[in-house]
Amino acid sequence: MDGHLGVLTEAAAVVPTEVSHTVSRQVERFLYREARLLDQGDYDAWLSLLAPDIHYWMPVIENRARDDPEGTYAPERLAYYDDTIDDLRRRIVRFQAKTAWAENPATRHVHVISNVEVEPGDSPGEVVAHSVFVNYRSRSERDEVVLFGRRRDVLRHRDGVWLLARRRILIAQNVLLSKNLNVFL
Amino acid sequence: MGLRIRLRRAVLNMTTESVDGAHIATLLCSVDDVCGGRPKRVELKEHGPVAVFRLNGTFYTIDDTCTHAQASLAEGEVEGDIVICPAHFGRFHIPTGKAITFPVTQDLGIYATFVRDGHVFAQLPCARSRRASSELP
Amino acid sequence: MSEQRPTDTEMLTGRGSTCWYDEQNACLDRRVFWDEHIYDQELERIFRRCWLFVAHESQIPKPGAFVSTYMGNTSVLVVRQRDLSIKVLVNTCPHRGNRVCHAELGNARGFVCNYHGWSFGLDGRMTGLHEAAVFERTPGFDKRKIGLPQAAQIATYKGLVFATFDPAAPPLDEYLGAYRWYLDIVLDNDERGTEFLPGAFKSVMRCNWKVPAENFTGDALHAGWTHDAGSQAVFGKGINPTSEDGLQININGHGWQVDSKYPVGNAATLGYKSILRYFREREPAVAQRLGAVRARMAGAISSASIFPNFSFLPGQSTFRVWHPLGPREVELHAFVLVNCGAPAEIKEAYRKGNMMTFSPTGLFEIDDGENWEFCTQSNRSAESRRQPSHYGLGLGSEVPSSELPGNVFRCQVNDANQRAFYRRWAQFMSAKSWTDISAC
Repeated sequence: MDGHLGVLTEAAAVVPTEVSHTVSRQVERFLYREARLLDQGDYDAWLSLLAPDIHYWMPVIENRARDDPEGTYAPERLAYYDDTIDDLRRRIVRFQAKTAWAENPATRHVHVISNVEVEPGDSPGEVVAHSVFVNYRSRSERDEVVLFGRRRDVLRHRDGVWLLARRRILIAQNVLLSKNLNVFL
Repeated sequence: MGLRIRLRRAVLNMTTESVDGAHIATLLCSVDDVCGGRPKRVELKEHGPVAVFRLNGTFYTIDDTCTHAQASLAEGEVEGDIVICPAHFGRFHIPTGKAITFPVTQDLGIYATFVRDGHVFAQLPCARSRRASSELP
Repeated sequence: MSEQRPTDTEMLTGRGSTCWYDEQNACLDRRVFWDEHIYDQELERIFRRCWLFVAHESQIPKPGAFVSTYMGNTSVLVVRQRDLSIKVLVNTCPHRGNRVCHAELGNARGFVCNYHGWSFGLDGRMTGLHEAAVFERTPGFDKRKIGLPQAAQIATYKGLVFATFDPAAPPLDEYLGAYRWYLDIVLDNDERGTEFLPGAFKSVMRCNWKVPAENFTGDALHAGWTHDAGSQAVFGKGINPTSEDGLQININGHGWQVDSKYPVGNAATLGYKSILRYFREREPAVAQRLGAVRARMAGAISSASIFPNFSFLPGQSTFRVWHPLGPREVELHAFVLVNCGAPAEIKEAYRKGNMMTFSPTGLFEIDDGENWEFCTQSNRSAESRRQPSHYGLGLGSEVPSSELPGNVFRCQVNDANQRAFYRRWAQFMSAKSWTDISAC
């Protein structure tokens, strides 16, 4: 175990200001592997990456004036995702159902993950990871959708593995320019 | 009642020449006319309209016509010591008349203001000095 | 399909419109889902005439509050005035046409065009101009005569704000007619009234607006097939076949279809036992207020639509507009309606429940979009759009009813409401004005 990670797992009196290269690399690999599992539609494996207390949040982005104090998103408004682990499991039941017509033939997914930055988290054993995603979906012969956005994650290291504990996804769209969002981001 | 009318006439007749002879103390309104956080617009034949504000007990007089698109500032919102023009929402600082935000760029005229016997007066430029200043290069 | 199929020339010139919907054979000409000229005619004859939903009062509580939406494909601003009335302003500057507001909602002091600084108050009247002096020197220029175009009439029914561009349109109450008796089920089951939860789901589907509108007005049939996977996810099993006791009801082209066997079936779809308890606990009070029949309809498996393009699901409480931004493009705006007096935990359950079921990520909504897009897009083919369509389910099922207002049809699985929708559509498309349009 990396010495710096050892600092993170103690009830540290001093909060470190950066994470080690080793931890950064582990987090990147986690995010890339997660993207590959989603591309493959391996939702059971994807679920195993999530902490039991996961909060998975993707608010609707409103088109408001710059000086509007209400801001472009807020937790009490309608959201695309505002999920616990049980909510996500329920969605996966539909994805895996034989009668999920909008998934058959399968959507061709590509998740591109980039711009990964890792910072110490607020609690021991946790880090904050920022990343950019580009999600490409292709269905049928010509149906294609590209969606860009950013994620702010909290990853937790426990028993030798990283788990996703919090995710906030902000997409770079106001009106969603597709008929549905049949994808995790 | 009779005493009040006589007192009012005495106030109205009162003028005070300033030291430099360039301003005349002009009666604008009663202090009760400026209340509830709203300014009072006062039409003055020679000078043009002014707006009287009451901020934390102090009275201020500025030109009422916005220097940008000629709207009446007395119809604008007041936030603290800022008045917001109702036409294009440009902001002026009331105590100094300073133009603060786009699209207003030209400051407002401001006039020394005082209260006497329940009435608000402002030192407005008299006609002589206004003509003189308009001849300046 | 009728032998009197209008030719393409007749379609282009707008003649033969009553032949697009063949009443005798319960068949619809599929060109109505594709043709640009029909769409242009709809923009004139339907979306400039009908009362269109624009907002819920709760979205614009205070003076200066506004939301941006569409009437047809016209961008409008719904603005709360200083006297608490509502105006609907067309979002186009009378100078050169630019939008005067680019935000979708907020609080404004007025609206200023970014191009030349023409400025308008909350009421749409001009309040100022950049370089005002030059305009004022222009002969004939009178700023008092300039302002943003406005809807001709605005009216509210129990929180729902409607507007029309047509000054000749009958009052809203007449347009809705006896359908208001049904609307009260969702709008007036509690004396404290209703509100929209904050926010909206907005998405784009490449389908014709009539495809989802006809679905919501009367398509109980698709639920058990399209939404089997959604039902598996929420209930662990598929959707039970609907009962013979269910009904379809339509008035003036507005539709409501409802099952009788599962009185809280729609509400249960949200997946929260707390919502089911809320319905059951409130049923006696609702029965006292609206009667036992309407109390049982409140959360039932049902769907509804107000002609032309405002639809909702009682129970799930999703309220949505299918904005026709093109002959083959819908911008969907969806909201969630709750009782103002509902406890906070119930409102939160509605928020999350709608997210899980009737949003772009919704377990039910996800499987609808592709059906509707291909129903529309197949008509790209000249051959395909010559093919018949079938709207004959439940012919002859009309039943008299002394208890329920409107045209009532036995059996929820039915096309009666779809037929009424297209009958009304054809009526508007061939009418020269409101004087040619009667109640039905």
